[in-house]
Amino acid sequence: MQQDPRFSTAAKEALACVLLTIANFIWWYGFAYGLGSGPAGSYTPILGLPAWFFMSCVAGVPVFGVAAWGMVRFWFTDVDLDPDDPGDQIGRIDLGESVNPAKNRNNHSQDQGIQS
Amino acid sequence: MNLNLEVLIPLGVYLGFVYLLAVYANRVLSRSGNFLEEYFIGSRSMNGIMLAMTLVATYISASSFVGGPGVAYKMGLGWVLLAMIQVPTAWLTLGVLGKKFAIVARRIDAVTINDFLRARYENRAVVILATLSLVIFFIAAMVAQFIGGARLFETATGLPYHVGLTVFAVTVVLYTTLGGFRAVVLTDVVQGMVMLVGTGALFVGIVHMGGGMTAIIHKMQAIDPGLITPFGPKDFLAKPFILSFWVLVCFGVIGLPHTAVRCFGYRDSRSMHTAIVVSTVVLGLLVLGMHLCGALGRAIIPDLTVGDKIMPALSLAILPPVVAGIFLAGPLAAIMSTIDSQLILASATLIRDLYINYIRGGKAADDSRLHRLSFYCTALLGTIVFIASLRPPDLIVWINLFAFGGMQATFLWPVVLGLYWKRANAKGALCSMCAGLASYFTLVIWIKRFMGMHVIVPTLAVSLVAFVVVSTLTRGPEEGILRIFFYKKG
Repeated sequence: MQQDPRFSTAAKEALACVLLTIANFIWWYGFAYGLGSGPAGSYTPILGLPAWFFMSCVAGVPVFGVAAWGMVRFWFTDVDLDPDDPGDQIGRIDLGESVNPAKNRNNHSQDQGIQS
Repeated sequence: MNLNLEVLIPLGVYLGFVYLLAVYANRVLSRSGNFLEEYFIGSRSMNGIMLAMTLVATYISASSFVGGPGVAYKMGLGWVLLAMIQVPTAWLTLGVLGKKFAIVARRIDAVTINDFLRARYENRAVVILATLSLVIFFIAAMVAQFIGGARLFETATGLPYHVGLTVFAVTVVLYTTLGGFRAVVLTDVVQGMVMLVGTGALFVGIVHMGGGMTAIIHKMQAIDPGLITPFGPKDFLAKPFILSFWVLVCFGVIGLPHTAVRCFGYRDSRSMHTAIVVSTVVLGLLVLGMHLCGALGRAIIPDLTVGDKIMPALSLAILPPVVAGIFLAGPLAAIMSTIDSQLILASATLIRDLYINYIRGGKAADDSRLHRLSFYCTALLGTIVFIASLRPPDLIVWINLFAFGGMQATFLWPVVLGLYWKRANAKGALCSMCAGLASYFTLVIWIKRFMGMHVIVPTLAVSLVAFVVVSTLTRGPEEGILRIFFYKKG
């Protein structure tokens, strides 16, 4: 049985998502309890909100929106979702005959290496 | 009875618009060549924006629009913090299930999560248990949503509870029955927009009325300093409790069948990429906006006894009536879009997994017969939920979270491990589901909290251990299964 290279792409992407989730957790937890553990009177306000809340919850949305965009843009690969993939087509792309331009634009060389 | 026409009219216009979408989807349906694939998964044609909006709208439900802000009203910013751990759910569900899920689903023609489980484990008991658990927990979840929706309708328009419930239920059941998955997704897109705009307007209104953010925070601090700390009044929100919610409403969401089914309904990988970014931002804004409104509302209307009424009360107090009507369409939209997707999936599950596979022995009936059966089934389920909602219990949020946990106990590990672990087999999955459900029910009924944590944490731990131990001790899956799920098909 041959490996489907698209599955190893998918596994790498899943791992990236888990890592981003951990990063989000650290951001969320770190700011909330790092800045917010003191008494209520001790908070510095940012735009009127307590700093712990602003950093952890408000700033977290744009920061991780951009992070998600970056992850998708620079780490994710377009693959064909067809049931029977294109095993031989990957070879053809390597020869420069691009069958489907959406397919494996930048990771086909890696995929070749993974195939057993 | 005090009928509030200025609120009622925009709501009515909105519901009318939803009907029109269903009629459109029904016309697409009648032209489609493959009834099951079109009715239950919209022929896998969602683009990025549709996928993002339907994911968010399905996920944001009555508990996050009515219950969530209600608790935030009482607990202050600490509860908003707790709610914000939901931000990763979008990329987590789409990314972890990911493209592999989409490819495999196309290989096996999966329309529901149970199709996936059946192909992966080839075991009748696994599928039947999954089907029953799905239908039962969905009915529980839908009852909670119906009650939430009807209460909102009641508070906002002045119509009695039962009238609200009827209008609400008829709309949802009718458009889901008529239009199928495509109608559900189209309305989700509209509802997502309504929620965003409504939440934004309410937030601006609150800050304006409270005399600026600084003044509001000072007022909250004066009411109770706990309201602006991460720990809540009287340290109610202890760390273990908050952290266990990370499992229940963030990590565990991967295992919710009605969000997971969206992870193989998209058109191509680019749609998924767009959806990850869009849904993360939309979800973040909505969760933050709604809960923050509830928390800040304490400074505007400090003397509510029932926290659940804070959103309708705030919007009626702050927004002009017509705008309030449009805004209240937001939570109704949220609730409707959750029910509709649960309804469509529950009926898909009954038809596909029980009727076709076990009553008809795997032979598909002809399209017109399936057509009729699917309509009846959707309508019947809707009616059951409606009847159960006629006499509402007091605490809807807990019914909903109970259903959440039960679905996760059933589906999370069989789906995730089935996708990524070659050794995962039917016996392991079955033991995991049984152990998960048994410990979940036991813990919910007798223990309530486990070492300060929500019971979902020990439940998922038990079902994971059962899965891994039993799978390791028994024979691995057949080569045919491995070929579909882990290798190239040819």
